[in-house]
Amino acid sequence: MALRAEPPDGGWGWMVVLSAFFQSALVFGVLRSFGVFFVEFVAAFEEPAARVSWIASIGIAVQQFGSPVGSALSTEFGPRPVVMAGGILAALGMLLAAFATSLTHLYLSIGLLSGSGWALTFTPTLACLSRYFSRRRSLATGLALTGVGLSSFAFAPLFQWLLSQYAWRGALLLVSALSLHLVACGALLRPLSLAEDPVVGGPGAQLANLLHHGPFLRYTVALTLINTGYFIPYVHLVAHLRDLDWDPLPAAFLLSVAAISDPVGRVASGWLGDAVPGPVARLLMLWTTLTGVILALYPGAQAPTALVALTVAYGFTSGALTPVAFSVLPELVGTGKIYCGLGLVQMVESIGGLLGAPLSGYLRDVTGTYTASFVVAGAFLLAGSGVLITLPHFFCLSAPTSKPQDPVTEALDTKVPLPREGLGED
Amino acid sequence: MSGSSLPSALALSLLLVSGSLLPGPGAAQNEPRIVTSEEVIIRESPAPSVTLQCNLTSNSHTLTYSYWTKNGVELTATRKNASNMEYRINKPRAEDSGEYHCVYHFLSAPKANATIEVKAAPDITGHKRSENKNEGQDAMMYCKSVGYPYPEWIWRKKENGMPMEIVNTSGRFIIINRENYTELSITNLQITEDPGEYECNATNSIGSASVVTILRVRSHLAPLWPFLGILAEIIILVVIIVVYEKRKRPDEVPDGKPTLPTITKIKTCARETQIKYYL
Repeated sequence: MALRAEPPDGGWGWMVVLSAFFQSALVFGVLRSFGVFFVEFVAAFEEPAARVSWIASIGIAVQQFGSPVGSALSTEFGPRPVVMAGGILAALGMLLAAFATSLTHLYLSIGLLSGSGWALTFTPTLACLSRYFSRRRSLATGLALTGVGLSSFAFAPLFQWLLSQYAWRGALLLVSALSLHLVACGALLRPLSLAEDPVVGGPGAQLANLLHHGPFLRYTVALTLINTGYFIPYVHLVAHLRDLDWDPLPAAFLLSVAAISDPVGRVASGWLGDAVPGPVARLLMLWTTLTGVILALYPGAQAPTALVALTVAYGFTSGALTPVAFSVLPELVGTGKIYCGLGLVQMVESIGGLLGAPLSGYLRDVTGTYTASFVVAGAFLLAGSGVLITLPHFFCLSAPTSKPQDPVTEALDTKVPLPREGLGED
Repeated sequence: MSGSSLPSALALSLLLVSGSLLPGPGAAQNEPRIVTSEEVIIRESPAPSVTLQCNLTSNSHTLTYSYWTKNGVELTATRKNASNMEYRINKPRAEDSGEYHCVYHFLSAPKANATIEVKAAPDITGHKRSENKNEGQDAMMYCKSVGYPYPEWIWRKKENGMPMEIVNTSGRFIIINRENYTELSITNLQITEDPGEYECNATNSIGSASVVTILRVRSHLAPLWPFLGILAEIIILVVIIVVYEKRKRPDEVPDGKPTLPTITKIKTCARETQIKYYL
């Protein structure tokens, strides 16, 4: 593979999109559908629900906080071996869980082992995707991320069927086999060498550089604020509807409606992100502002039609902001540092995600309704979009390339020789 | 003769003295007597309401209080100071059956009680509808009932639609019977012979009841074949992907760190040596 000057923007890149699609399905779809196993674990180990739900929490925490590790490793070794190793770890965790004799075993196998596997897969894949695309980056990311929504639909009934056929141990065995497809997805991540790679150096140097990179830090702050408010409706919408005297079935149906408009928003925003010239950060600001406004409007909506309309809109805008959120990063730090950058961002923004839902719940306990929760969530989103204005070239009219904002003349310890001969295209 | 009349007089006096010391028929008049209503049998449901009565007659002691107990446990809000005790059961059901006592406490005499039995056919109130276990594990099926007198329990398994008594030839069946509870445990489940419908039957002098629990045994190996199948599919996929890539670009081995051995490769791989450095 030759040293490219520009990302290919197609070709094998679409296979990477396919790989990322299945990976986001296998990582987040499995995580989201794990609630199906919840009841079985409570019965099998005779433990209270709170202790069983730690399994998923540990898995999510390890996946998010382990993202920088996945990034650093893929900077060093390329994404393919890292993702394949991650797939083996994730499947191994599920396999060992099938033989668990206590809840602690599940914490370690699913939470720690599978969580580490997931940490090694998701972030390197998205970063690799960003390297393969520049003009159509947002669309590619949007398409890839629809895997999350679709898999949540498919996996919950699938897991339920597996449980009834094979009992939870057999079902975990088969979920392990399912997760092993991450290895096949990893095999599709053909490495790409881009012009700026030799310059940016190894992972240690990249991390140090990123931590001094002003726009990157501001962007991380913005994403953390956004993440704090982002999940509130998914977590509390049904409860809020019950407070308004909705029946459980229509309330759950409304959440499904949001789950449908979510992938539509992702693809639409992805296409828009590539079609509109100028920094993608502006579109991110648009979608986050809209989402924040919608959240702030929620307490005011009482009529069912208003709530349905708001939920459809929320699904669309919150889905829309995800692909552009990932596309802003290569514009800020360049595709050379994308692995490390993405890993750091994921780790920091996860703090927002972890704090958001409990904060919202606390506000509800204190005030008695979800009004404060929704308004505060909207405020976080608007604050995040405000920080985005401070990003460089925000008010530019022309499209930036995928080159890093800071030029090559940074003092970096590269430890590698520059090419001695010219390398042509393959 | 004065010599022979003395022992007989002594004997007579002894008899009289001992007679007065022994409790004679007159002393029985001091014991309380309780007249009770008849034993009750609760048959159909809904049954007409039932009243249990106890009447304390011929009592010479001071009554302090009285109450009802059911199966040895004092019933709340029945404590009174009356010689005429009544306990009314509205809408009697099987669980109202049992051994009822009216108990009388006295100031300086031992308490007295009388028994009224309320009988009903057994009603099975708790059981598992189905039990799903893996082979080799232990299954436990139970039945709980209400009703007095306490029933006899029989477990049957439905073979060809007919309930057959369980024969414990394999020694794996353990049945525990208590008054209103029975438990059938099967150890080391065998997938060939154990699955099926198991019926617990409760019978007492009034009637009987039975319910069915379905036992399913899952095979250990059941998930193994799909697992191996998926494993094979993934290996084939990975091989296809890697082979396809190598065939398109045979001069590349893009993964891995730069290591010394790669430098010793032949000229056509010199490119990849440099490429390795950049990845």
